[in-house]
Amino acid sequence: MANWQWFHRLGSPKWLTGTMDRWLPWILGGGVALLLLSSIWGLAFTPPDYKQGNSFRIIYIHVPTAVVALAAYYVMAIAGAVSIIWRMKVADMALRAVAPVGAALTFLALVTGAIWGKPTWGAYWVWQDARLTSMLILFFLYLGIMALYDAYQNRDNGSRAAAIMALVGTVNIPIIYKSVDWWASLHQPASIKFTEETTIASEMLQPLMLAIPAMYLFFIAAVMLQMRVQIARSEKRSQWLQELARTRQQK
Amino acid sequence: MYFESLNELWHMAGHGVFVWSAYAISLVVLVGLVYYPYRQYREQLEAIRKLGATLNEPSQES
Repeated sequence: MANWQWFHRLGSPKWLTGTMDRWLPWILGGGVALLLLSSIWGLAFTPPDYKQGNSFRIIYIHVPTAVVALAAYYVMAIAGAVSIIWRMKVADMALRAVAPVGAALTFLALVTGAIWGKPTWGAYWVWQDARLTSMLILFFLYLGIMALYDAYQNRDNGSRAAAIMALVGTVNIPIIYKSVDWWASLHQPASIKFTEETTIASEMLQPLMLAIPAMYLFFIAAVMLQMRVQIARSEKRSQWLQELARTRQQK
Repeated sequence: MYFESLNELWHMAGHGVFVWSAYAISLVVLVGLVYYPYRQYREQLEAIRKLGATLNEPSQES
């Protein structure tokens, strides 16, 4: 017989809060430590790019934020689908938890990219560019979803509208990935490929291969922090949370 | 270290202002992503404690 216990537990706010409280310090601590390490490595212990010089060092923050901002959208869209299909309360909370984190990471990808663009392309922003525009749309999608779930008096209607918008917005994701191949773009194509040989020197690649998982860890921790807030908001009258609040005070 | 001195690391042959500002903005946003929900959660627990106190304990006057 299949064991579905984990799925039921996942739907339990009490179990989720306890588990997240236990894991948060490790995930957040690990993410921050690895981000610091990869940043120091990339900033000071890597040779400059032969064409771009030292400006390329922005890659160690730009690429991780962009990669995770896109992954966050998948997570949010899946949470949206689960929340529509099974009306699972925790999935709706997950959607609300991921949106602000995804928005912040997309914002960072845009800003660090613009700063990188100035010394490299000679401009902070180019409106005709497909990669830049599709990424800006991603940012507005996140903001739109955050605005939608606050726009309704009835919480369920807000959740439904936000989940539908999250699902509709997924059409933008392949556009972002393919934008550098489909249209002439100032943005360089991906250097790390799964099917072909990677086109980046290994001493430049190593800190990046550390920075990307580090940003994933940080993302998981940031979503957990948001998730606790979402759970506490909807469960504030339940017994277990009042007990948890009291034991926190004694510590 | 790749750079000869800390001064060179700071200037990065003219690119320092771009590189360091990108990292500084990222630091501010990432710290905010941790700080705000952390503070919000603590405030929520505080409010829940107060709510629980008023619900469970009878008031002094009665």
